[in-house]
Amino acid sequence: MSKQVKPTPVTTPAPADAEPYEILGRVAAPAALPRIQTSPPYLYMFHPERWTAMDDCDDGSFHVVPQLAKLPLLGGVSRVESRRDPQTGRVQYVMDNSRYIKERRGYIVLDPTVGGVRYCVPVSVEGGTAHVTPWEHPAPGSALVGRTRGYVAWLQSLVADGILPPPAAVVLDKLEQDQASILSGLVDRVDRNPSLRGQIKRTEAAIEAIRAARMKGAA
Amino acid sequence: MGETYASLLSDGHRLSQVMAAQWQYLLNDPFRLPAHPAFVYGGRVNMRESNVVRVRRLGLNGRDRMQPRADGAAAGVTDIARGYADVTVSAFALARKATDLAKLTDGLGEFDAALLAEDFFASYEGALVDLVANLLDTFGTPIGTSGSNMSLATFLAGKQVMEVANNRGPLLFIGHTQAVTDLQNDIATASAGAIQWQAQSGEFVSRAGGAYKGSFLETEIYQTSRSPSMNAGADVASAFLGAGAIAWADGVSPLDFPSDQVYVGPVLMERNRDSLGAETTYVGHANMGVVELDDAAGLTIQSDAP
Repeated sequence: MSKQVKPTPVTTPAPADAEPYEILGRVAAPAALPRIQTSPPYLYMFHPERWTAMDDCDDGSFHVVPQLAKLPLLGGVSRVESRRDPQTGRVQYVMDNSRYIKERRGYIVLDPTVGGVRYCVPVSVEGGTAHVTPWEHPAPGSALVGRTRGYVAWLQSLVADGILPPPAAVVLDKLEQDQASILSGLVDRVDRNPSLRGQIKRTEAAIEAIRAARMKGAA
Repeated sequence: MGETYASLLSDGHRLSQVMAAQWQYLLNDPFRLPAHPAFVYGGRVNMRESNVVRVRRLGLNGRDRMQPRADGAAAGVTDIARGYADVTVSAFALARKATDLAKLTDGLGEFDAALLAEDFFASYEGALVDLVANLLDTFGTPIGTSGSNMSLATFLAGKQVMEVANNRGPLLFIGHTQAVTDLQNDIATASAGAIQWQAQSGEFVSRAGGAYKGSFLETEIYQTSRSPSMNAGADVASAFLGAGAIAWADGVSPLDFPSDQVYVGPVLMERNRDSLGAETTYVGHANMGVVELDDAAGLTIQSDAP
């Protein structure tokens, strides 16, 4: 005869007794801001000799794209002057002299909105305001900046639409030489430091992209 | 970076706390402009009828070579090559304000005028470095591989470009903090040959903290976290600078009310009393500007961002 086993009674405690402690109160803290450096607004500049091979968000697929430089809208830098409009109270950046010295060096200063994209975005951060691209996403309370794809495609569209000229063959030659020089320096030392393999792979991919761009230009 | 408070008791900074008998500085980028030949001082704009200083460059000191002259023929005249850059000086300021209640409860000298003066001077030097840092991504044709850490290979390639462009040493390398520490790591773990056994390699990789990282391969190395990002945040900018790469100029604000104003170096510090609000404002004023003097005297380096 089997012994009857009585099931252990299960009791559901009242909500107040669910845990042996209570959490009381909560100080409403101000919203955390990204902990990245403040930075001034900027205009992008293109120079015919400034090209680079880069992948979008480290996807490993390299493309040769213009390497834009920033012309900071910051009084005292590169002849930028700032003043406050007495009528509107807004800060005005006087760029005539700054544009002149940059254009004399071969730069093309881009408008704030190019190809339908306003590329300088203000973000409130600890200590003030940072200015980033639409593809950068500073996180609250963090010094890390997330990135989303689109920058490379935007640059490619600027070239495809004729807003920026394609790279000259001599520029691609120089770009390849520079990468080859870096690659040889890495390859020479990889046997002592295998962790360099990642950089070697990226540099090789960059060189492949440069060669592909040359072939495309020659075709 | 850290939290900042206005100097009002009601902001909670010390409304309900007992202060410890000491305080510490918040973290800060300590870089100060080095006295290096890469920086050419154009002078002060005071009493010059303009806020723009022109820094000239002349093709002397052997730039033009002697030409062969046939016997009996007249020598051809060679013009002196000229270049220049104009520096526009702009105004800068930092203001602090404290209520009487905040000051009278201050037991550690937080609002001490001498301490604020020191703060203003450090802030002036920091602002000047910020201006310089904003130039670092515009020199020449950048080298380095996007998304790859700064490496000894890139450093040597950059040094080579500077040498080929006839830059005079000692060179200056101003690197983003991430780039300099990546370079230290690369040298520490992967250097070989002539670099591996040099005492300076060990000294360079050993340095921690601060802005000045010493001299490595006849290049003075500074780091700053204020240099611009590149390639939509994928990379950061660093730069090699040779002699005469950057020109800067400044101006000193006039002393109009000596009873309430004092000079702290080139900074004019003044105080302003609001008797109705029982508040005292301290302001430091400075005037400065920087510009790229010679594009070929610098080289931008791109390397992976933090």
